[in-house]
Amino acid sequence: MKTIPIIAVAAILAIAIAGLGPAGTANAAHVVATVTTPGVLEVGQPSQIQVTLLSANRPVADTVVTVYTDASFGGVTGEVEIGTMTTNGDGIALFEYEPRHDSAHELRMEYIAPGDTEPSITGAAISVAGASQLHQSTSGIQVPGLNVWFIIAIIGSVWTLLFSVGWRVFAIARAGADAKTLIAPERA
Amino acid sequence: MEAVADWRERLEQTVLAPVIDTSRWYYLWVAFLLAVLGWGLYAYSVQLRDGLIVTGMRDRISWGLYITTFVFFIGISHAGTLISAILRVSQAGWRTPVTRMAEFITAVSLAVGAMFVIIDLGRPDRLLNVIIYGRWQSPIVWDVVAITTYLTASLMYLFLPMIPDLALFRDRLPGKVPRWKLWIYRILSVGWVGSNAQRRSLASAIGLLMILIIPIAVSVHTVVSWIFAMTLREPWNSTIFGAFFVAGAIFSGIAVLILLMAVLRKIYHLEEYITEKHFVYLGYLLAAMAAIMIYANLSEFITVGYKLEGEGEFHFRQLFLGQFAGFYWYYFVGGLVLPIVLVLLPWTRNIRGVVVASILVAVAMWVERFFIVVAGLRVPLMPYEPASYTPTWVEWSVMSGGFALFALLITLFVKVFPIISVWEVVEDHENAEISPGPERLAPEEAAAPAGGG
Amino acid sequence: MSEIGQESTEERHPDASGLNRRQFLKYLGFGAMGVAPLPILPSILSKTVGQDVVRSDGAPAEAPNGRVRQWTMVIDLRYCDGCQSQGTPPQCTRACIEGRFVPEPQEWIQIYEGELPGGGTQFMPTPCMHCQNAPCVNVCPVAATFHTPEGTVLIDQDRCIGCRICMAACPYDRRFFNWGTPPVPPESRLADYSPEHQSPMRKGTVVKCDFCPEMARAGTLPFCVQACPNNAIYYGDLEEDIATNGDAIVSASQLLSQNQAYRLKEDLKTKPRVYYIAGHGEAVGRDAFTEGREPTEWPWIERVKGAREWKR
Repeated sequence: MKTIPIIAVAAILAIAIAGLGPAGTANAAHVVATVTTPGVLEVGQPSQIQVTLLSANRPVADTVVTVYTDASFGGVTGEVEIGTMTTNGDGIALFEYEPRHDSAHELRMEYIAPGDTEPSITGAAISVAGASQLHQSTSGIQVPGLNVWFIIAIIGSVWTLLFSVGWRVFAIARAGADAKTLIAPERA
Repeated sequence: MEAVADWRERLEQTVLAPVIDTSRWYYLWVAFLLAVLGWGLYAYSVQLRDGLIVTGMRDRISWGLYITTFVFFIGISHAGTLISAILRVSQAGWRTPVTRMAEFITAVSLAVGAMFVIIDLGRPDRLLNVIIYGRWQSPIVWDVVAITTYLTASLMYLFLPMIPDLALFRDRLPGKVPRWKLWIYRILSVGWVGSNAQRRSLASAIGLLMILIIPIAVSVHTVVSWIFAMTLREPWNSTIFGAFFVAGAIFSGIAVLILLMAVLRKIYHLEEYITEKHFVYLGYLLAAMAAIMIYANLSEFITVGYKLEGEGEFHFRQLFLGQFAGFYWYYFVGGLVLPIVLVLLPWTRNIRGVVVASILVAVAMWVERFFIVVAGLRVPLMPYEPASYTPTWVEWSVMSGGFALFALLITLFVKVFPIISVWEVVEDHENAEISPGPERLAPEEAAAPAGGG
Repeated sequence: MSEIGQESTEERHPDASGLNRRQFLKYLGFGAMGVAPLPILPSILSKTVGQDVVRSDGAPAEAPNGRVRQWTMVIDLRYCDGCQSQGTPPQCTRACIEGRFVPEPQEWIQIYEGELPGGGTQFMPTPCMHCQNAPCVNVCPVAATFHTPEGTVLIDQDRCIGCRICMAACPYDRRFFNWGTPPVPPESRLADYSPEHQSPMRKGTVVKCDFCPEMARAGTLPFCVQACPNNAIYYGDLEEDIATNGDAIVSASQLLSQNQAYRLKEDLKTKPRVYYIAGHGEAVGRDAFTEGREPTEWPWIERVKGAREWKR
């Protein structure tokens, strides 16, 4: 586990906002967000991402943190909300993240610090390894023990028996030919 | 022994007669059948040209008369199996005069039935795809395999016991029939002279086949039912379907066999060999199968009806009260209950009564196939108005053509091949002469001394 | 077996006299019997070919990292008012018809008006569910309908024999048959046939919604998604866990789990790839008791020769 302390972008943003916005948002400047991620994530492997919110070294509890990432699909590019989490009494929010595409990407977290009306933003860069296929499309009936060989065996034995019956027709014909040559010579 | 020789001569004459003499009525009948068949072919050509749009089938009710008729014909093909194989295995002596007819029905109805699947295809030109790309998981492929196996087995089963009779024809008919017929008899009788070695081979071949053909026949109709039962539709997706279809198949098979017996007996004067006893015995079988059908119906409907969930309610409503009520109650009362009554009541337990029962059953079983297919498809799967299905003239014509073909093939068969298994009847007769156990007395045996003396 | 029969035939034929002649005929008969077991060949063949023949035109769509896309659709019924507010026939159906040259009575994505258990109705756009345990794929005798690696179910009209068992098997009523020459505009005949877009349409075969895989691969959204005025239909990739309705981009799993998404007839275990979010158009101001929608129209001015419409 490697800890990436984030000198909160949020703080800067919040200050900027505070400069423009009404007073009372100033509190946000005191909230320090720390994001902890595992160093290497793997596609399809859930990993815990931890966000700690501290205000003057005291935990900020019951704050909802929303996590976003950038994505592009079907001609649409934008931010995807991938989950929300709430800080506990220690100011810690745990987010179970299951990355689905391997690349270095940016996670962005938004939260509204107590007393704020505007969201504060923090973030973390993560890199995801691995490219195993998670979904396999299968089809067809799968009954254990019932397969094509079983069916071939049944059909094969039935047809073998049928042929053995058919073969007896030749036995009859041969016997007939023998009998005829014994009784009367075959016509020329 | 003089009487026996006499009796045998008369039997052979009776069997040879249809092949030698042909009445005007026969030609008229064939002409009529050909006309119907031709009309059916014309209708089918219309369907080939324009596509299945000329039928009444549409997306929601996508199977209709063709599949109904297919199931019906595959069903009656069980006549041969039941009569010849099951009764042969159980050594029921009275079966011998009727086995040949039952086997005719089997072979012909299988061929005609299989034809109806092809008629139902949207792209009959790609039929061979089933062989080239066949997937073993598909019930249709099971059907193709099972029906082909059954057709082959039943053709062999028709052919094997016919060998001695064909030899008889080969020996008795020269000069009386056209050369091509003699040629057929010479080839098909495979040099039969009745030597001991030949008899042994024949006996072992028939012995093996009669055991083998029973599971094949059961599998065929089970697999036909699985075409329906393997889908997720409420009225079809039922475990009883296989057994139900097999029972229904044997049931309708007996009915059609009785009808054919009645017709051939009348036309070719087989009264001496096919007696009232045969009709009554088969009538008993018919009644027993009807009882099984009633039981299967109750068993299925009560388990579904008790819960009455989902699409079940809609299905029951349309079946018992709504659109299909007429069909259903005819089937249940006319096709299952009434035949039992006809067979069991002493004053209708005769040829006429059994034949009437058989007509009721044959029609009822076609009707049953119809409402299984159409009512099953009619149950809505999504929120839409239930569809309706009205067969068009094309479907009726093609179906009539199929029935005409069935009748035609049997009619032609009768003119070429022996309609009664002479050697088996004779064997039976001889056995009876040696040890006439009264309880095993077949009707013809009882009749023979009187006729011969 | 048949080869043996034929060989012997040629061998025996030159000196066809009495006994040999009979033998010749015997062998001929045996040869004919050898043809009879042909139908057991498919089971052997299919084993060698693989039990589920997977064919589509292009290579499967891949995410940038090489994994195969797994197309999915999420339909947010809260936003679907059956285009009542537009006063038009459903736009998804219209766009699908125009984009895919859908023959006259077929609605590959159809708006069903379902009754709500508590009264009122909801509109349910219903495309093919692209089941992962697809009953239609299971029953197809010739593998004309097949699964792609992308998780879609396609139909090869060049292989379909028109037996319609898939239509009997589909529990969602989402398969359509070209009963006659399909009434489609002549320009649809210009396309190169592919199971992925199904044009030119063939008579006597089954067709259905194909999930527009070739468009998705090229980075555009299916016609129905593009056309929905309320952006109620999301199209996405389960593999990358991403979906879009053409406006917003969302995490597919978030969208599904946060909104209690469900699939139709879940109890059948067909595992559809189309999910629904319960609603009756309330998010776009529809009252559950405002019933009815404009009927779908087919815009073709000109149709291919010999085409006839039929009723569904």
